[in-house]
Amino acid sequence: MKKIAILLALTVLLFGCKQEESKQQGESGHKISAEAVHIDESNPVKIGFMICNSPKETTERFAPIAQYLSEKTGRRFNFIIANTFEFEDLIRDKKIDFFHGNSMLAITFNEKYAMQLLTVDKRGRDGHKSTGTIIALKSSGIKSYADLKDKKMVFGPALAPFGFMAQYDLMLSNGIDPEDDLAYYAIPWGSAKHDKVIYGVLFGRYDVGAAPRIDVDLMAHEGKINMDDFVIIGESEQMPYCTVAALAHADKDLAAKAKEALLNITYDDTVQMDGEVVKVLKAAWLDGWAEAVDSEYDVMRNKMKKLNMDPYKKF
Amino acid sequence: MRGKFTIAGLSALLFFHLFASSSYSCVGRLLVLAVGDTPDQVVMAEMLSLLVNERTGTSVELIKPGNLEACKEAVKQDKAQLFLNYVGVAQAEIGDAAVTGNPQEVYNIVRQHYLDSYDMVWLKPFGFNGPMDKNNKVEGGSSIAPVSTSEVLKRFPVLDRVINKLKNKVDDDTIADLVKKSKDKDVKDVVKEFLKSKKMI
Repeated sequence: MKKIAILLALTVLLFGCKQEESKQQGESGHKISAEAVHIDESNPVKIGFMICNSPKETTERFAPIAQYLSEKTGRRFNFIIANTFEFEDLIRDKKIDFFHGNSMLAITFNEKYAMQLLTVDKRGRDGHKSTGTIIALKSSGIKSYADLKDKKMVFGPALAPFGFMAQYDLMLSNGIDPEDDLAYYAIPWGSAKHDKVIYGVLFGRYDVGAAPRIDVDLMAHEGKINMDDFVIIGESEQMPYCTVAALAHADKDLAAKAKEALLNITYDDTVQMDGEVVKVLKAAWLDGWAEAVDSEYDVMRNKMKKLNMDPYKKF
Repeated sequence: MRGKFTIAGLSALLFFHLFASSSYSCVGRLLVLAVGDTPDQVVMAEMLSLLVNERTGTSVELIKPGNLEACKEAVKQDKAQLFLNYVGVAQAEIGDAAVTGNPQEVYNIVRQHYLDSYDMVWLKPFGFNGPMDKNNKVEGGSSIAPVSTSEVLKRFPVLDRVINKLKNKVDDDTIADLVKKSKDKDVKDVVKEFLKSKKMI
């Protein structure tokens, strides 16, 4: 595992700071072994993973999934990591065959490019769904939506369902227009934006923050924050979490095999990478996958329409 | 207990590192703004650049392709994602069809024409009339507004919301004052002071 970490760190050092080069490929990044099972290397497919916090972390989490899919389907899955905003080009130009990213992007590409939704990641208290929260420090005295007026707020990335969309919609639904009623709002620079939102509130730079429930729970679990310091002003309804999908041009039989493999994974499933045994779900911080049910995404589609967001944006 | 303090200490260090620097990070987005060759364009481009960077984390690069037509062409070719145009200039491109006495009507006609013809979207006007000449004078000017494409605004979901915060925030007297101050001071400092005074950054 150490060897993998060193190789990944080197990859990130070499490529991480150039936007043009942020799409990293597993086939060139490090060696993936296929000793245990026969994998057809002659006609590889590509799966694109959305960068969550950083290229390094994303690669460490998701490279084993690509290897798992290779072993279970018998076809080589090479992995690419890319930023949210880079995926549209990758998908339109058919540079990837499979997708893993947040559910807002999944909906967008489902609508625009007929991408087929396969499975949803299971993680945290709400399984394959998650929520967005609006947080403040208890000591701030902010207790209700009305108290948000004239406050400084920090959101997560604009393409984050549980770090921007959910909270923006919550506020509008509760009589607060972020554009007119807040004194100021901003989105942090750079990587690890959800962490920065929570720290931004904790250290008093902002009065209120828009944070995914999963990140709040994780930081509390890791002892980075104490939930007794915070108050949750509002929490969205549950919506589908990150999604695996097959692009319209992808082999249908292969997509079905991949879906079955993901749905059947257990905590004990391992892959060999650089000669070391890696537990796939543990590495990915996941509890498994649930089948993607299209109608469960309707709640998000309706919010995206309400907020005039792509792919429903009108000018 | 000691472990928790260590985590809290490291977290604080990380936090101040993350927020203290406005340098551009590894995972960042880049927006290119094409700037025309008049003083009001330079000031407003710097203002937009700072506003967008501070509020959304997106880095903004300014390029100077030349005149307004060159700026528009840069956006058409996606070499830039944003430029600043004048309603009067766009009106002249359309010809007689856009001639009405009402500035709002003219803006609406121009906006629709750009959307239909170029898939470009006019955002809200800043409030002053331009362009300025080399002597900072405006003759027969018209309102100025940022123009982007619908594709860019889909890719940058909060861009229009943030940029539109400058709607009617810069009137004729204000732009004249900002241009004048920029002769003695770095224009970046001038627009920073202005945005701070308006509590926009």
